[in-house]
Amino acid sequence: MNAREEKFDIVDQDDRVVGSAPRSEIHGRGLLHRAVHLWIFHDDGRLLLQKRSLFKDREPGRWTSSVSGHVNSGEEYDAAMRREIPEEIGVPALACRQLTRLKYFAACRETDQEFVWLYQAIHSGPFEPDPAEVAGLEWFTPDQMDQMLARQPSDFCSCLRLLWEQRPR
Amino acid sequence: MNRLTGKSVVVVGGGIGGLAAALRLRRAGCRVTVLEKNATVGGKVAERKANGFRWDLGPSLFTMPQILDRLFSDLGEKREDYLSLLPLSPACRYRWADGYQFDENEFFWSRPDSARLLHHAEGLYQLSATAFLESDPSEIWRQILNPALLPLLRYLPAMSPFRSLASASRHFYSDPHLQQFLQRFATYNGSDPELTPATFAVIPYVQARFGGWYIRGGIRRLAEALLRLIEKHGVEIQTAAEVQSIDPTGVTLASGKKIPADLIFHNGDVLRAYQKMIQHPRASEIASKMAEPERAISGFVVLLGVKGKDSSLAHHSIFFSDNYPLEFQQMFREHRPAQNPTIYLCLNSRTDPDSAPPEHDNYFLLVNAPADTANINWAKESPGYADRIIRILEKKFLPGLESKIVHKEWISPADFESRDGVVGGSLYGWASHGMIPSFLRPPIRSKLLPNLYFVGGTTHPGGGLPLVLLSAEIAVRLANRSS
Repeated sequence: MNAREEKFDIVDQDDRVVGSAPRSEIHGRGLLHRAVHLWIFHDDGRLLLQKRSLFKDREPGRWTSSVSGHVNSGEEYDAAMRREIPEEIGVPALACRQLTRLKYFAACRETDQEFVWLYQAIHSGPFEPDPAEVAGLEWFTPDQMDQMLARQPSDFCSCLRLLWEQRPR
Repeated sequence: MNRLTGKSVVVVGGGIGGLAAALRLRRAGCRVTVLEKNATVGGKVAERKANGFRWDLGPSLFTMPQILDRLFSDLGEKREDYLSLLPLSPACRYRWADGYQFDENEFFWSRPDSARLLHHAEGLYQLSATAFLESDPSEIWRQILNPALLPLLRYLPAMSPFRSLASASRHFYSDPHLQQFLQRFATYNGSDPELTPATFAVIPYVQARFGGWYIRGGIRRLAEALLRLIEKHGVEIQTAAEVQSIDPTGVTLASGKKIPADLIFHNGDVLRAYQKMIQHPRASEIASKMAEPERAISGFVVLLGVKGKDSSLAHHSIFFSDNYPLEFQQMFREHRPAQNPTIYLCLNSRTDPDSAPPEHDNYFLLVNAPADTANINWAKESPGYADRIIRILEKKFLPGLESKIVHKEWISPADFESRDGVVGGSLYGWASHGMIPSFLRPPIRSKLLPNLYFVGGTTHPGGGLPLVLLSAEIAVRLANRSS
């Protein structure tokens, strides 16, 4: 185990905390845990997606939500969301207008055994993404999303595909 | 006599240099453990697969195959049993926006001006190969004074290390296109031609003499072949094992676990080793001295999946910018991405149709980029810069390209930095600006810890696969002599 490795809470089938473990153990053993995703919309309605680096060990090079991350041990969903926004895209959480919870997803294979709270907000940029975390940011119209997903679904993280398919309309 | 027999060795980093050193040490009778921080070994020799395409992410041009063959034969193995090499002709196709283009092939090398260049470069190669490529910096002076080599000194004036490669290019070629062609070899290790010694003209000689090769199935097969040898010859490998510190008694992992060793071989950025790993009161002093010379540039990579096959493209192509000095000015002095960069294209589906779906091509595009992740936010700049590179190709060289793209992704210096642990994402260590950094890269044997040796692209003799393999050869020879 890496001495500086983050710890996440382990949860049961009903998303109740039953323990905690380091990141590598949680992913290695497929334990249920928690994550947050945020979709940032431009004032003109486009959705901001984040490109993962080609060198990431999980889902390299794929498009994922504007911001996403694990809920740390002892942390609540909302707190994790507010923490991840400045960490990943370099703007204060308060600068994201109408930041709200959008939909809750139960842990499954597509979410990598994560219970996911999906949030949405409005922000037209500019952003200061953390290059150590983010390979790039781009805006897509909902039509473009549908076309790209139909043509090359493997360009998207499995979790984002599920969230997009089952998004509230 | 072999003094290494029975010694325990830890190799920090499983790049090609680390794997080659591990194999040679094992052959010499050491007990060897390779510790790799990433999930897989191979370092820069990596590949990317997506949507039926496969791209080589590391060095894509391979030359001096005899050095690779020597690694196999020194282990009692035959390279042909593991890897097949395909010769490329032309080695490269060079194109300019004004329509000028030429192929680097035998015909080109037989032109009178090229032949004269080769003749000088050959003398220089013979002079430098033993002295520079086959020895540690600490032994170079002895080799240079070797009387057998003295007659070769007559080749030095035209290619003096005190003269720049740009100046030599004007000496040998009158056509500005061909001057630019020769200058490009400075960028082979990420340097500015105006500041790089003319002696680097030896690189095109090496390419002309030993040829350009493709490893069937992609460069990643090289890492896999070395891995097979590692397993066969009984070298232990631990992945996801990040070394935090190095001291004379061994190494300590990030987990706190200590691994004792008689000898330590470090395969990674030498600067970073002195900055962060080596436990010695003078390590930080040496690190700050090392950090003074200019670091080589990094690269920005765009991977494309393209519909249709363009038969005008060779396996390797260079699309030159109209203003070469401006490109280097922007990168080295203004520290920003060049606005009209020279673009390198590797299209290995030309030689290896399996690396793209039927009726498709896999473009690997590379431009030089500043090794700066502190002042440039690559996460912000990358999507726009990738599109800029595509637009330059579309507008000047490959009309219709944009509409045929079915897959697009990129790799920035920030990505290289996080993968390789190399400061600024520099791909080639130090820039070869001036004589000292060009020929006296950090020595292979550490001055601080006598049982610590360095292999890989940031130590002597330099970056690139053949030189990295040579660094492993030299390091193991030195260790054998000194142990």
